[in-house]
Amino acid sequence: MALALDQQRAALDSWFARAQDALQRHDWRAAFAGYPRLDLADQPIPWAALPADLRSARLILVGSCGLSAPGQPPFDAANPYGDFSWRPIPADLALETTMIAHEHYDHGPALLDRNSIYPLARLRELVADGEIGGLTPLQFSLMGYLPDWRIVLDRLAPELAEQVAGQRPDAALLVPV
Amino acid sequence: MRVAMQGTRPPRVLITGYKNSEVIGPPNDHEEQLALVRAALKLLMEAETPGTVEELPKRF
Repeated sequence: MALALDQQRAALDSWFARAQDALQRHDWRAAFAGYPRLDLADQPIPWAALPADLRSARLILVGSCGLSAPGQPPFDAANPYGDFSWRPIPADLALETTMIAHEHYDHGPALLDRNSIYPLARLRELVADGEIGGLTPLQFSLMGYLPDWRIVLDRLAPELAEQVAGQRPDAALLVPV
Repeated sequence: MRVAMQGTRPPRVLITGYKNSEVIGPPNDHEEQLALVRAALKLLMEAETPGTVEELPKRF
């Protein structure tokens, strides 16, 4: 059974107090020992109807791989407290023009092929083949190192959800990395 | 690859989850990436309850 949310918030406060020095040193192993992950297991999950057929559904892709499009500022990947912003990614963007800023995963496969972390070109192909109804004009990217889940819960998630809903998708594919 | 329905209203949401930052498909393996995306979308369309979790085969 999950702790009440206010107890989880208090636990995160205590963790930040303990982890400050290690976070500043980028000593992730020390910092994240005993990290209180957010547990929403007891929370209700709303459910959405979908078109009966994927061929008439409009999808949106949201990835936490830290991609930014040309002209956009890169994510603040070096910040030990995370970067709680997001970037809109045009559905027709050439993925090889994107920049990756995220210090918490191996970029090797992604540098060879962005689709290995953000499969936008694969989704475009499925649209072209008629397997998916379409993609929304904008997709979204964020940088998934977000240690303060209170900010995710209180600000990032609702604000990004509003942006996503504004694109009027039928379904969203979230790709955490 | 672990995928989990975390439905919201609207849209319905599918989270493709990775352990230790696995990738959705091997780089430059077009067919394998397509297979994984199709498998995820199949679950997205066919899941009947929120919280549905399924392990997709890891083939690379």
